[in-house]
Amino acid sequence: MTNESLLSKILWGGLVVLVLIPFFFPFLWILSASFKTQAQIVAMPPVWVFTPTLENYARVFVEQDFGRFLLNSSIIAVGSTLLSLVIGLPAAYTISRYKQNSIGVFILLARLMPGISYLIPWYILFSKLRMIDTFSALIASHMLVGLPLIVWIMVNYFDGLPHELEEAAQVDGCTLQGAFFKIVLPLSGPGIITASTLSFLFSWNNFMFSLVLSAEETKTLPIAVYNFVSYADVSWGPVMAATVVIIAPAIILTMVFQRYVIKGLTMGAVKG
Amino acid sequence: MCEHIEKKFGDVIAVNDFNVEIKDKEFVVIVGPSGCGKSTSLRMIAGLERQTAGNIYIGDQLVSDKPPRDRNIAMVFQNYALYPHMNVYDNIAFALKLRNLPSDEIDRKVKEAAEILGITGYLQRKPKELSGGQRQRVALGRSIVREPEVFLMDEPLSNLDAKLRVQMRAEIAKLQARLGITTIYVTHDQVEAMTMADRIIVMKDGIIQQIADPQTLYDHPANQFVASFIGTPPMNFIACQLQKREDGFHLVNPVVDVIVPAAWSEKIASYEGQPVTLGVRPENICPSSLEKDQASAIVDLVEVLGSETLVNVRIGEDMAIIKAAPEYKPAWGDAVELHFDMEKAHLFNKESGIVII
Repeated sequence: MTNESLLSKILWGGLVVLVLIPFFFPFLWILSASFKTQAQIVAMPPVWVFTPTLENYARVFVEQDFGRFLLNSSIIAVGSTLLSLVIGLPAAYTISRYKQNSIGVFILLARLMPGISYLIPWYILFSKLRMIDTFSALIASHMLVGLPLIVWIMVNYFDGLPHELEEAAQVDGCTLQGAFFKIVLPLSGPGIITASTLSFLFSWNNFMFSLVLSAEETKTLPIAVYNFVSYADVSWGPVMAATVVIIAPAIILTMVFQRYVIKGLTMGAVKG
Repeated sequence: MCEHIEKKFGDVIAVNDFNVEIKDKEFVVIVGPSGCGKSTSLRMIAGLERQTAGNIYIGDQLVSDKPPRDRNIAMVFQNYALYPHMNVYDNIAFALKLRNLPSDEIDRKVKEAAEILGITGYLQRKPKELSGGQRQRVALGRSIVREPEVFLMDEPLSNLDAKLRVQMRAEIAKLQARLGITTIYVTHDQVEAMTMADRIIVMKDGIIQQIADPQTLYDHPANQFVASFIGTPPMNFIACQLQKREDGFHLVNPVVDVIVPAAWSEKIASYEGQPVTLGVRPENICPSSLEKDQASAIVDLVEVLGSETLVNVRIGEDMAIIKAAPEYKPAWGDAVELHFDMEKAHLFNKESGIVII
């Protein structure tokens, strides 16, 4: 019996490792490559033992001014998430409490349309308004992703909060708005964290909108990676370092808020 | 005062002509089956639902268009509605803070309310750390601290176990008597209504059936629904025909032949020859030792309670329950003769259900 259970444990562990390898291996490769020289990165067979170097990070932050791109991505991601929250939370509350399902579906439709279909109209619109390569244009375009996401998650979340809490608050002396700010929002922390995290990540990783609507002033991290790609060669070291800079905040954010994110993503499935 | 209140949801009339004047310090209970409109009526008084017609007055003030916060009412909800992110102290103090009272006055009022309800030891706990009964007390504390003109209670005891419900019933009744605040209490439990109320409003399908004190409702129900709803076990109904014979009026069916009291004759004369419903409470039917009495029945079920025996019998096509002495224990299937105390019986119009006697 003991041998069997030991064997099954080993097999199970082996299976888990096998499944996880495709997910973890790319991250580990990118991380290790960011500390390797070009020669070490392209070497065949691969180099597993090496002396780490910070040369790639130096090129990224000093030569290419990645600090500015990091700031741009942060401004756009935080800006679009905050604005989406300011508009989306009251919208989601009203849709939930007053059962305005048709408006909810309409907002969700915006999310279901392919983003690429908005690009040409946006380019024309923002060109005419002389808003290409401005933070306003990029924040507005990123809200196309963030706002419906926040509304969709928060409608489900507000549906789960008992109505009696706001009614009790109104009887106690609150206005409807007061009940929303003093009772509903403080209880919505997990939902807001989930929605904000997902909105931030979508904006942080967004390539397409930034490619079309940004230029030198508002270039974001995903676009900036291509600075290291030329006709002649690809500077893999700096590319890897830049990639680490891009994915690190996303991974850290997800790890910190993972339980809220998983709950938020499965909430709709359970409630139906 | 509720003046001809109506509430429609689309084409559905949830509350129809709700018209009642409630006196100062009175404890009024609105009772009825689920979906009868009692909670909707209470919510309209609170201002949480807007009436589609009619006026509501609290004191002399017309409050029909006022939001809940301006009506000087306090409400206890069925599932307490305590704010989960605040402790007990803050839950009770919330309304006072909204009114910008000085903090020492808030502290005094909260502690006073906690003392009255016996929850002083729980002030720093969060609602999730409390039992059902404790949460209910906090909900009451949140209401009494405001010193409102009216208490509104929406089935506050429904979520408690039976024993706690009995205990809290008494506590709420004593609290209301002590504080002297007009109270409107909604429940589907007629025992709660009968034990707590000064007056009861019985509702069915959105319409008030009768408003009266508990004893009047019990002794003089206005219609068959009120008669069946109030009282445990419920009143028994036997379908009969009203026949005039030489010795007076008789209520007759294949197994029943009851002579009607002479005092009834004038009121029932117009129903001669028509089907009517005889209503008799279980304690007003007794087994007879005669070979043939007013009704013949077959025993269907015997429930021994110790202090009395409840016997379910079949009287022709109708089922009935009789309360008998604890020694009386017939067997299933026994044929029995029954005698009715006609002084306490009622007669109902078979079609409309309205009481004749």
